[in-house]
Amino acid sequence: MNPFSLLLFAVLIFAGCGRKFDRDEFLGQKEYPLITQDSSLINFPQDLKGKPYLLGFIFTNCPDVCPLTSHNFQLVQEEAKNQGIRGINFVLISFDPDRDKPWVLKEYANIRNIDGSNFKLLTGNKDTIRALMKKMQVVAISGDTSKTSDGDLIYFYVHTDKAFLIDKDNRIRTEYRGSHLDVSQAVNDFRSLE
Amino acid sequence: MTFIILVLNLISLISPQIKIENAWMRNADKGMNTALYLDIINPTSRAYDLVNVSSDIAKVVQIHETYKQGDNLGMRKVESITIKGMTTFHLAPGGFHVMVIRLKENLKVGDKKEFILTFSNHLKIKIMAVVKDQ
Repeated sequence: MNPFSLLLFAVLIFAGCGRKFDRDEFLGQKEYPLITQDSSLINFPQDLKGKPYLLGFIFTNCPDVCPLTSHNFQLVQEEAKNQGIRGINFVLISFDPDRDKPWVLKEYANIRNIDGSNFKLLTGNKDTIRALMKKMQVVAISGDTSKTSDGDLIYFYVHTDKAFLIDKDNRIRTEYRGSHLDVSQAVNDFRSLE
Repeated sequence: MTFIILVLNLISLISPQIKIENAWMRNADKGMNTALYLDIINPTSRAYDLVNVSSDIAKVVQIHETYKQGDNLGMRKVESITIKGMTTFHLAPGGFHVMVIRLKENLKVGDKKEFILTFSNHLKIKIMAVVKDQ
């Protein structure tokens, strides 16, 4: 390898390590008991400590924005795997616990071919979810409500479009727009946390 | 009279018509919601309004738009979408879309489902939308 190539290689290697994150806030010691798509209990965020993770908020009845977020998370998961980045997690929390029961999240994961090996979909008690959303400064307000001809209630949410990168010590390091997530950026950010 | 009808039919045959392309939906389970996306190509010189979309695959089908409100995103029903002459209107993720609410069946990748689009001049166009994993 000639000296120029060596220098270029070193620059490329170290470029990813020099990411200066815009946030560094500890999520705190408070535990939020939540349920996974496999009906297992998880104490958020303590049980996730030890590995960096991407965190987002969705509701499964959302037909347009939330599927973009879910899909973007899957793309980051796939690209990180392709690049050999191991020891990371992906977490989507429902802000519609009335409808998003664990089995609904399981069906959502199945139909979207979500690789559940390091991807958790979480729901829980309404008060717990509300407290967690307040902590994360995520808003979801029920919008127009209507009914189908047979009385089935239809409602959607006006909601925050945020995804958070959390490091292995449960510190928020940056946030993205979930529906417009830059996959390469997120993968590089994960690499910076390795 | 017959001659006039024949001439009008001939004119309509050779005149450019509204065309629908790239119609697709996301896969979703029975009872859930999804969205239909497509391109409406208007090669004519006049504007058309898309006023209704219908399908037997869901309890409710509505034209919606995703809008930004501060840092938040929401969806709301719109009565119609105007497609100006000589333009293409894209119904795309994060923008205008057709909300397909309370599916009566599972939508699996590769399935094709029928929709009928109605325009302001009573023009009806039947389309087949393919189910994708996106």
